Amino acid sequence: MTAVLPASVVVLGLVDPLPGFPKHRDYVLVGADNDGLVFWLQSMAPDGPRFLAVPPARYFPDYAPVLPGTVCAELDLEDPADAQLYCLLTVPNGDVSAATANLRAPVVVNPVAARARQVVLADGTHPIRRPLRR
Amino acid sequence: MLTLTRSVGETIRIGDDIEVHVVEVRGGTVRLGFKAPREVPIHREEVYRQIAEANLLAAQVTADSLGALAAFVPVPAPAESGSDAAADAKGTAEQPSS
Repeated sequence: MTAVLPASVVVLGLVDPLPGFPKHRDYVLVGADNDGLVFWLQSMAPDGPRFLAVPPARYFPDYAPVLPGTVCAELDLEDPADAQLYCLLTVPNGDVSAATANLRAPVVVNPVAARARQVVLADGTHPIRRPLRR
Repeated sequence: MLTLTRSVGETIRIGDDIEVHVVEVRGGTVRLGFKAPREVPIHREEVYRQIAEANLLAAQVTADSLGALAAFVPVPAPAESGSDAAADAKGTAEQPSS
């Protein structure tokens, strides 16, 4: 299964805040289901944001983003294959059938170093709002 | 804000290692070229604004959505997809788009 989480919840430090949420750098990533298919990315701050996030490979098998080479250094990733990707979901007006995932700016996580960042891909063909519904 | 006037073929240098070249000016449009260290991300402003807007919308999600999402999650993966998250990350260098 993808995205195996440690038994204890690890605080992820964002090396850069998420665009739109400049005050928040510390998040936890916790499973929202039992299958590792949906996660909460939750700010540690009481008034901070939280997001639903999905591992994109399970939903979008054709998704093969090219990460900037500098991301590995920023996240202390020795091997790019160790990175875990999560795409943030938008559920417009609570309408789940219209839910979309942001493939343009995946959150890249190094689970070992507990570091992460949202990477805006240079490749503009990855949609910001790709429907989750197939 | 600092304002400079430059002509086609001229350059602006920012710090020691960032160059901005004026490549072409046509009508109301200017083409710029950038030379910068790889760790300096270069994006059109609209892209960042779009990502910020998408994040702000994404943060409006409620726990109510979660149950209904189950209808859209893929079926449990076959065994070979164990490394799917890792397989996403090519880690290949890319040049920032202009």
